Amino acid sequence: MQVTFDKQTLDNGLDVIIHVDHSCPIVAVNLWYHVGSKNEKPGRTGFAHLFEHLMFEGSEHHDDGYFSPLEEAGGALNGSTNADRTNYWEVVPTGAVERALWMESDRMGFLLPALTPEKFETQRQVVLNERRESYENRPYGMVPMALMPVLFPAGHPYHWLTIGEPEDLLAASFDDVQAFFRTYYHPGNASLVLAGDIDTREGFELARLYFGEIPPGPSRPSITVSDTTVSGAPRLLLRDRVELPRLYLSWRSPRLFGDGDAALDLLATILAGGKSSRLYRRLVHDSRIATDVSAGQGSRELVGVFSIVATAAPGHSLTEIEAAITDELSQILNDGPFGDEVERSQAMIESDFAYRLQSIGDFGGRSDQLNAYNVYFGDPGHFDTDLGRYRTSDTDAIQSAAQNSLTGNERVALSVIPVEGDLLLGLSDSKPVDVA
Amino acid sequence: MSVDRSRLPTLGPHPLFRPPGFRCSTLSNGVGVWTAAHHRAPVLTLRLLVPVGAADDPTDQFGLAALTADVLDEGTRDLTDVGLHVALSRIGAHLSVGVSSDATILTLTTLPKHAAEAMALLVDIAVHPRFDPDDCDRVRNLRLNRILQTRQVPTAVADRVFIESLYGAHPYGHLAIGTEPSLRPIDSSDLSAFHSRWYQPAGWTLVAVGGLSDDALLEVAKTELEPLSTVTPAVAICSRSRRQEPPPIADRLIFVARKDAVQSEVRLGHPGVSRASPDYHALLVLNMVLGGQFVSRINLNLREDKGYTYGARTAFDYRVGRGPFIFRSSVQTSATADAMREAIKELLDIRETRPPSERELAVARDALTRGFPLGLETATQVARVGTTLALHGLPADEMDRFVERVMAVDADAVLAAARAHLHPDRLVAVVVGSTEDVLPSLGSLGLGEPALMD
Repeated sequence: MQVTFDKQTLDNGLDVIIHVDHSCPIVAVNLWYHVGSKNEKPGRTGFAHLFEHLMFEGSEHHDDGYFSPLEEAGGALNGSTNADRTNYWEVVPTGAVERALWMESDRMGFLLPALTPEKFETQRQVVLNERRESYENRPYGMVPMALMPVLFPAGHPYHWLTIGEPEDLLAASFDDVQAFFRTYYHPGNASLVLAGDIDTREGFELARLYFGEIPPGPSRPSITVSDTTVSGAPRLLLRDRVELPRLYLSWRSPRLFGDGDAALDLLATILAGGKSSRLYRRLVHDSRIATDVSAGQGSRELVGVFSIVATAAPGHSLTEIEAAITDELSQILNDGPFGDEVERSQAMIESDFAYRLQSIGDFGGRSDQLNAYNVYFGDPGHFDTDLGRYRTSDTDAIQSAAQNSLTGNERVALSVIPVEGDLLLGLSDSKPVDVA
Repeated sequence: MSVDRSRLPTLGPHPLFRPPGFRCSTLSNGVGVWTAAHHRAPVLTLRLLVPVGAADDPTDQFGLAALTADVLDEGTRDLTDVGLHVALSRIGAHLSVGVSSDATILTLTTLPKHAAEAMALLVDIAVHPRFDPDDCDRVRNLRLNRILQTRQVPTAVADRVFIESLYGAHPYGHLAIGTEPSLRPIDSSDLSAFHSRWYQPAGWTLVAVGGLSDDALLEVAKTELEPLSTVTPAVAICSRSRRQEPPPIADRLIFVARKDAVQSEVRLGHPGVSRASPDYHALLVLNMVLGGQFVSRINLNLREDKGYTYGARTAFDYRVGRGPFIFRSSVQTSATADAMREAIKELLDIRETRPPSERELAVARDALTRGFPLGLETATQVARVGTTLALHGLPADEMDRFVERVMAVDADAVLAAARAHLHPDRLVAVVVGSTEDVLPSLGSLGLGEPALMD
């Protein structure tokens, strides 16, 4: 589908992108800051996300909650942080677009005067509760804490998780907040999309009016990335409060839009996308040794992670499951996909694209996607190129992407077994890991 | 020109927005078809509403409605299970099957160019499921495994215990997935019998929204649906059973132990109202003030003021019968009783000492009415609204009056609705948390002695 746009860069470095669609009287405001947990310092993990929370606590000219003026305007809003970027969005009825821009620009330009140690302390507690709710108190919730440090040994900025370590969150100081804001939260490190019921000229004028006066900041400090890779096919064992064992197989894989990235998306669909996929049929449908299976190419700015996850049916071990997955994978590695598998996975991905882009706002909607292309590529108009790489990934491309990434030696296998469960439920020779 | 930062920009007038209109037809065999052309994106959503839900489960077969729905896509008369899913993936279609207490809804999303094939597959799935005994056993076992796994999911445990305690033997007193003992003996003959009794096309409504004209959408629907034979379904019977009054509540405070839990999963509530309540719009406004959005009293108190939780919300679940009113939150272990006390106080205050102020009411009404177009942006959203209207027997143009009705809700109406439908003296409370850290503190809440369950 076509997503038309215009782009300008303001004098202070802010990229502004306008997408017009008058078919519903709403406007999406979507703002990306090119900073995520990979920009954090060791000992201060979780800081980028904690900082995102502070962006909702008021700014100099509206020293009150961020939600109130926008919810009363009928708007919806949210923000999120991952390893690579932090995004903020509002979707508002047309008559409230100036209010949304006033609010977004006030927190970009004037956040610090309104921040207090009390607000910081409360949000630190909220984030610790978010960590408890989303990770600690959830079955299999601590898996990423066990997995990521092994996939990305110390020295790599994906070594730690975006949610951070509790002791680091507790160690974060009010001074850190000020320094982080000055370094990363300025127009030169941001990209703004206005999408929906707005005209191009008006959009640029409003963006200039509200954001044009905010001074640019320093250029983004570079990050160091160690190139220590995974070797020796590590096997890990995590005990958790779960009923059924689950196997996580992970490999480092091509980065976002890198060579082989799209091919591995297609491979993930062929392996585990729906009930006609290879692994679903083999593990869940036919042999019934697993209750579910999924696969995904999680691509990030520096490097991706390809993973296959399967939960054992009662009475079955992860060793059986690993053998079946390895067998299916070796068929792909040796022979590639066959028949109409490639064509069907392309059809699925293409239609997913259309479903996601129904919305102008929200996470993953048109405005968010325009910003993703702009921030990672410098070009918002990447829709056709993006879809094109799926259309051109054929059987050979998928086979060679699998051969390049999914090699045995660089695989990390994590077995999760019940707290009291027999060790034999997991893969043999797995090293127990303890995560807090 | 520079920005005036001394005050927020005023809002423009309320959006002029006419919600997408449905065209309703009834086919000669009684099937209802609602169509809405929608061209924002190349997407077509088909939703087939079958008016049978978990509330229609026989009392010794909890989970039957949901299992029946789950096996529908395991092959049809002409297609094997794998063959069916290959056909769906060829057209890039997403199929999902949802079973609530009130209804079963099959949703198929695809590109408009595949409309005819998608419609044919959807009808094949709903009308000619294969119900092969081996497939039925396999899917039932997958559901049993899911029930097993959810024993370790605090949110799922809290929801289950809450619903069971609130409704007892009422048709709303169990989750759609059922229970382990009730699900285990169910076999393919039970599914076939349930399907032939309840899946009668004369009770169905198809809602089709997407990038085709109304005529084209209707034509596609007609081709597949009109030839179906049908008998009159038992809709009237099931809606009567849902409307029974819930029985009296046995325990008011229920505690489920979760060793060393770092948070407590909390539910508070009581039976609420049906969608047919004349207070529906007043309750929408009330809940926005109380706990329906970020800036609601309860979230601002528990999260933004106290930092006890990542979030706290309340909701009325508007069903055919009286759905629950629920407060939900995960709170840090040490703050469990304090958080519950604050939540209960907010329920009391809003109907007694601190009714919504004019300012709060204006904000709530504006949030609902100005935000109205946001909920009707995409074909998928419009189709969802259509299905809800059809389920509750509401007119297809109901949404045309939404803004006017919400704007007419005044302080008296909200206070009256709060007093009629919020009952802080009749709350059921469920806590899933650490016994040693939490249980001793719960006695002080005034909800009686905690009953222990698992």
